[in-house]
Amino acid sequence: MKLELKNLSKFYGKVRALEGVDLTLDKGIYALLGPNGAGKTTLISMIATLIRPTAGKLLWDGRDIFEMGEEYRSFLGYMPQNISYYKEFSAEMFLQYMCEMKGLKPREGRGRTTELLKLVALEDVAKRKVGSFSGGMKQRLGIAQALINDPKLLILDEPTAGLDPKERIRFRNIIHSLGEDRIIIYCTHIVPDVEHIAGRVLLLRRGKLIKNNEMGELISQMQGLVWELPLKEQVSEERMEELAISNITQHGGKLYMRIISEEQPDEEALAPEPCLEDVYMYFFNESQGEGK
Amino acid sequence: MKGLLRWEFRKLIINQKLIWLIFATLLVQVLIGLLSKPRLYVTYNLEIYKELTAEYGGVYREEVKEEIRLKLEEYAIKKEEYQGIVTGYEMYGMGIQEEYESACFYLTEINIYESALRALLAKTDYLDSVKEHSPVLTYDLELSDYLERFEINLVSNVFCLLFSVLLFFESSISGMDQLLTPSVTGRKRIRLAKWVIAMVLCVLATSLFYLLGFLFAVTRWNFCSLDIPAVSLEYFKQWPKNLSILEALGVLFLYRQLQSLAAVALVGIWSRFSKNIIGAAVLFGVVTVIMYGIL
Repeated sequence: MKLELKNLSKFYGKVRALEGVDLTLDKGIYALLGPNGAGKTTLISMIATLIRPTAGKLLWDGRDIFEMGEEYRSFLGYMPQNISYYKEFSAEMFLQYMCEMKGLKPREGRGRTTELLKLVALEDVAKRKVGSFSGGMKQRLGIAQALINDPKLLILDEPTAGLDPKERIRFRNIIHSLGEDRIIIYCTHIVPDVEHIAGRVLLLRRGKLIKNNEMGELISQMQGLVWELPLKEQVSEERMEELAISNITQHGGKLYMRIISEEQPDEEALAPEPCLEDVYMYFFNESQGEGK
Repeated sequence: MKGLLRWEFRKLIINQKLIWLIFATLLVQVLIGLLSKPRLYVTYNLEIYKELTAEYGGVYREEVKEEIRLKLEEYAIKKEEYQGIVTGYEMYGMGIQEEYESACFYLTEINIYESALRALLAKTDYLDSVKEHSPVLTYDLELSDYLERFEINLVSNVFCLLFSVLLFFESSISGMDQLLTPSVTGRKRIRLAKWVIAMVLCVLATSLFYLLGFLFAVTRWNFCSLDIPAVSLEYFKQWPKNLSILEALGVLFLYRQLQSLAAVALVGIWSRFSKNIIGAAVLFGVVTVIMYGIL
């Protein structure tokens, strides 16, 4: 089970959406991070066969995915960003329809529908019209439809957008439980969502893959680059700007400025444990000239 | 494929409210059929024309035509007689008023009958010149007017346009394309299912609306002589003389089917390249108008 992206590029006229992406994905959960417009959706749209690359190849176990066609799509699960539904369909009917689209026989589809509705905790509202669902319920239904064919390759594009914290945790748990024997590409810019579940992080900026590392490895690269400084009232705006504050955190009843800097910004500054958010801020902080 | 077809139908019925569309268009068709009145523009009295058509029995062989000519001659003599009374009274004050009034009345009556009879004779002569012994139909003009308006099958066209747009554009309108394209079935097979549904629905709808129109014609205008030459109907005046009304209607029916299928197919092709529904509707309209122009 291996997905290879070889020198993958996509241009819309003269606009470069993706350029020269080389990547090999094995089993595991991959967090695809990047700011808006970085090319994340373009990349996963190509992996989902929605669009074709301008140049380069997409290979599944050495075979071109566009040539594999139906065979490739038979083990592909895709949950797009801003997922749309037939609003007049009930959740059950929608999943049964998607089962048909994914080549399951009607009886098989009914069984799978029941199973998935249970997995995403929608069995009580199975007969309700999807149009009346909340954002969270729609997202859960989205993950259910992506799992219908028990995919070897699961692509999730901003799956937790619009979910409340409780639903995000539930969602994370579902993904985590699925990650063992398949490739999951989790595309998001909500960093905490992937911090605890992704094994590997892919950073995409302006259409280029700038990092492809193990989560721990990437975070440990931030050692000595993250600082915390107690927030004092008398700090001027000029100083605040100069410090390039990435975040303001609170612990022990005190407020701290979290600063990304290659040098200790102040004598009082402490070096905390870095996290994925720091990685994100380091590479994508626009106030610092779009990061490193 | 069977499953796909079933789902495409279900989507049309559940999501696109096809049942309501069918119900609404059928209602409009029935109302038009029941409430519409013929728009006839003739220089003679139509009721008298029908009365005379019925009196002379439909098929005008030479002896009947001779009878009409004699009647016209009789009218000419009577007209002269009454005209004399009227002129005498008006110009020279001759005769009595009662006689004058009576002459005026008869003169008017004769004029009405005469013009209707002349129209009948002209029609008979025309029909004979095209195809001998073609009958004059009592409700020729109403039927022709009916055909002119209803044969266009406007309601059916509106129905075909609406359902084809709903069918071909539903996944792009709903945003479901992004889920359906990477599915095993893929866009191609879904599109094929849509084409099958579109063609079947188009044929069914055109037939249904055509049949309804025909039923209204039969019940309202005594449209029952289907085996008589098509040229007997004003509407088919320019058609080949060997065709019966049934055959002419059959040809029209097949052509209208072809026309609807072509228009619906173009909507389908358009949806492949564009998401612009208005463009599809315009294309549908243009094809329909061009094909009506041809026949």
